[in-house]
Amino acid sequence: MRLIIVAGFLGSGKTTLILSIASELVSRRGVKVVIVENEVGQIGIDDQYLEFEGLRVKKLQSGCICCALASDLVTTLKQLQESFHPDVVILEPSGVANVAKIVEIINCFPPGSIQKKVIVLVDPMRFKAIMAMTFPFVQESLNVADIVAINKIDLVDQVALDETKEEIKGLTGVAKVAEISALQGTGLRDLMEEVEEKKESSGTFAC
Amino acid sequence: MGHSHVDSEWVTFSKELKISFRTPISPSLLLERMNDALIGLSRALKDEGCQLIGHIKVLIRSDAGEHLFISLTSFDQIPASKGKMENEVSEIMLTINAIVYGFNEARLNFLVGQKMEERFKCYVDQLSC
Repeated sequence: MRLIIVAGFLGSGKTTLILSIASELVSRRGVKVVIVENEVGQIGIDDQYLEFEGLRVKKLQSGCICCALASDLVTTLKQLQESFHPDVVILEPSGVANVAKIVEIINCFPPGSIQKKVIVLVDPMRFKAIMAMTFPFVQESLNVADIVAINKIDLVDQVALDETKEEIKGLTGVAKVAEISALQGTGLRDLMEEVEEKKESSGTFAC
Repeated sequence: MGHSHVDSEWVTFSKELKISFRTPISPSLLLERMNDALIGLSRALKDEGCQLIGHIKVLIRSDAGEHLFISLTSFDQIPASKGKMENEVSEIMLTINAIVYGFNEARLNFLVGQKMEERFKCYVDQLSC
């Protein structure tokens, strides 16, 4: 089973990207996709929205899958694997989740049972403000990313985009940096090619 | 409410509201009113010292089976909307989900209710939670 973790701070465009990726996989390629949605609020919105758009969604609500709902995440992935046999699971952690902890949880599955890719989305308009307030949190996310995707590039000028890109390159080691607009579809083909590369480049933890 | 993995404190608001309009309103008016409510909310949050908007999301489901998804992620942004509503609406189910940093939870709760009421009170008899 392939697992695509689409992480990123609140408001970075995770759900929009997931809708684009999942629609492409399901409609054009006939891939069996399930989305696992984790939201912190008691009433989820992203799961409802994706279901309205015709996608299959499993909800993990009222807590964070990196800590309080960690065992629920493991159970959910095992159940999906056994009962639904999806080709691809797309996991959207809440925007306040610790992605490194999620990767650690996934790495405890038997070797080869899950091939994961971690995309961390960045909103270039708010990157500085978010870094100022949550630096270690963002840094930890970037550390385990296979791809850091600068989203909403249609909303910033080239100077701001280049600045964000330089900052990210200084903060991340092996991750590839992509530039996309999930809403407009810009850069998504290249992003999907990166996602579909077999090699996993990060997130090695001992269980 | 906080989170052990993020240094700054955040608070959440999530609620479902059912709104019945006295007379059906157009989707464009509904979107305009909702955008006004969210802009009013983000300005109030900024004025009262909120440090950062994580997100403010709204999902509107109409009695005609259509939906709109609206979101706001910063103080100075115009809300972005997705989805399609073409028919007039007489009743909607509204889901609001907000996460903000450096703000009082009770005050956030109050402000959401206040801004919704300000923008919709002339179209409804009562906003019921």
